[in-house]
Amino acid sequence: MRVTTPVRASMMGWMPTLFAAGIGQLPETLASGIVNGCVYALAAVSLLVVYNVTGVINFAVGDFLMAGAMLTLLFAGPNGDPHRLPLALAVLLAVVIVTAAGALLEMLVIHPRRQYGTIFLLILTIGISSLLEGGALIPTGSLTYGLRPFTSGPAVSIAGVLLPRQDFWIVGSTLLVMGLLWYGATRTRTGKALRACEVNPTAARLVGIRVDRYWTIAFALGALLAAFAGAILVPVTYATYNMGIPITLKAFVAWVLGGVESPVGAVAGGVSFGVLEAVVLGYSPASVANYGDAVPLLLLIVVLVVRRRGLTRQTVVTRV
Amino acid sequence: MTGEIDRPTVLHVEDLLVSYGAVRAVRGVSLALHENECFGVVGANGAGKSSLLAGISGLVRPAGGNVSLGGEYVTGSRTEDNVRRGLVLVPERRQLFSSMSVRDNLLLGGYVHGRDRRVAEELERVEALFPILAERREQRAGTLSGGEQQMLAIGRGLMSFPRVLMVDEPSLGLAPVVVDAVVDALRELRRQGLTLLIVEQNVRLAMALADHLLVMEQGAIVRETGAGSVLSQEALIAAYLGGTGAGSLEGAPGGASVDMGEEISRSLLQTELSKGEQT
Ligand SMILES: Nc1ncnc2c1ncn2[C@@H]1O[C@H](COP(=O)(O)OP(=O)(O)O)[C@@H](O)[C@H]1O
Ligand SMILES: [Mg+2]
Repeated sequence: MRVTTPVRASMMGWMPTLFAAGIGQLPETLASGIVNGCVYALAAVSLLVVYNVTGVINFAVGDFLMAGAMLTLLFAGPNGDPHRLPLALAVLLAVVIVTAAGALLEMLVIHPRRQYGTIFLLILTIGISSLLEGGALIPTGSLTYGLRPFTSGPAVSIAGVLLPRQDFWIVGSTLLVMGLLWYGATRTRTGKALRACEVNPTAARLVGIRVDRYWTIAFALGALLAAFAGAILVPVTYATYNMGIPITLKAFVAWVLGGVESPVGAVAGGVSFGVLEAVVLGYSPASVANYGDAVPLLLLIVVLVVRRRGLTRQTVVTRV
Repeated sequence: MTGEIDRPTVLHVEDLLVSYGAVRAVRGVSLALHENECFGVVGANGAGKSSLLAGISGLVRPAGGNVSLGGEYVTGSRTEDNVRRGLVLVPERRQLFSSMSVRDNLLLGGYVHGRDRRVAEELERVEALFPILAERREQRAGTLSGGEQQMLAIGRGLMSFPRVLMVDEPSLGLAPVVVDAVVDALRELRRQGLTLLIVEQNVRLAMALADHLLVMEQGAIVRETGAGSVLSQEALIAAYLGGTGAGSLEGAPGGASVDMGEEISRSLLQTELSKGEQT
């Protein structure tokens, strides 16, 4: 793999100085914030699905995303490579492989140790994170990789605001995935059973739901969402083996911002965090912007101090 | 004396032991429940009634003894699998999916039967039995009143096509009028052929429903009674007043106060029992 067409740097922190924008570029800054926010939203929903069903905080979410990005790159290949697969197929393959890996890791690593409790399992996912990073480092080295946008062509101008074409893919497919998730959760038998495991695991067992299997399904779904986010992100950012942890932190903040239990909250948290980050980095002097990765941590502290239950108002449901 | 019953035994429990670490909650309980029979298990708080049902249903793995359903040993198999066999528990405090709709709660009751057509038919039957559930279809289960929640819990259990339905404290926290509605529904289910094992602190309710009462104390069955037997009736009351001694019954002929605060009058017991004889 070679670096092909790095369209522009994203908010991932390694090239923040590109965003020392003038005030005239506010609409562009906001737009790129929303675009990055979609990626954070997908990763935050991934954290939420896993947490709500299993109680595990999946620290490897960013690394599942990285794996999705790297595998998409591997299959879609650089321009002009005769062996590359069609883009859609490359994305599909990448997502399927990471999803299967998520399910397998749950079955082999998490599940046999689930009785040890949340903190132990969190540490286990940190282990999985390192494993995935290491696994990516060996074939990719510490190089950075980029991919052409899904549709080529110049940026689209809407009301004088220049928007890269990949932005439309990212926002559009995020909306689509969220719509599918909503449909699945509210209209399908498996989705309802998954929610039943979240709401009341004992009751789930009493109606015959095999809660263990839904742990696996939750991890698989979490991996799927992260991998998909990675696949749509890779045309606008550079992929490296160690891109995962900063994204995990940002997704975590987005999730907490959204109130931890609400999917709509997680999406709102992701998008608001993306916008906030873009504005902070875009309008700070380079010397400050270089500490871009501190933004999520600072924000997390602020959120936890100001509002311990996140930004959305929770409807408190009594469990009788 | 209950006489010979030639219907087949559906649920057979032998010497069941249930422990939580050092706490021995059920110490060797045996019972045989025939098709279309209704057993009531009564006893004070902490007697081990819920633990008995947990051990039978597989919610807790029994420390010893045997459970068989229709001749098949199911001891120690998980609740999830027992539901597939038709051993269904309506648990203490209902355990509904409180943030989900009434309809979804019922449909989840039919989870193990997948997309079977019978699930839709059963849903209609349950909604006919509890019309309020049809009215509240889209409402979140957590927002229902206590009585409606109990009906939903029973309805959800029925959706699993039980061979034996075990109901833990259906009257818990309900107003008397509501209790009557729940009792009527359970009676109707019996009439339709359902086999029931009911656990209750409310002796009146248990008597109104069951052919056979088992009194539990400290994890063991200390008295058994068939409905209508005067002797067993005395024994039952004695068992209830066990802590204060049988003498207190004479001391309070009008209405003896029972340890869990439930007022039982002797004449009331008589009426309930004679009702039981008529049905
Ligand atoms: N999960 C548990 N862990 C430890 N002890 C328990 C548990 N559940 C019940 N017990 C104990 O077992 C005994 C029987 O409880 P239970 O079966 O709930 O009685 P009942 O339903 O008759 O009120 C009690 O002493 C109770 O404290
Ligand atoms: Mg109990």
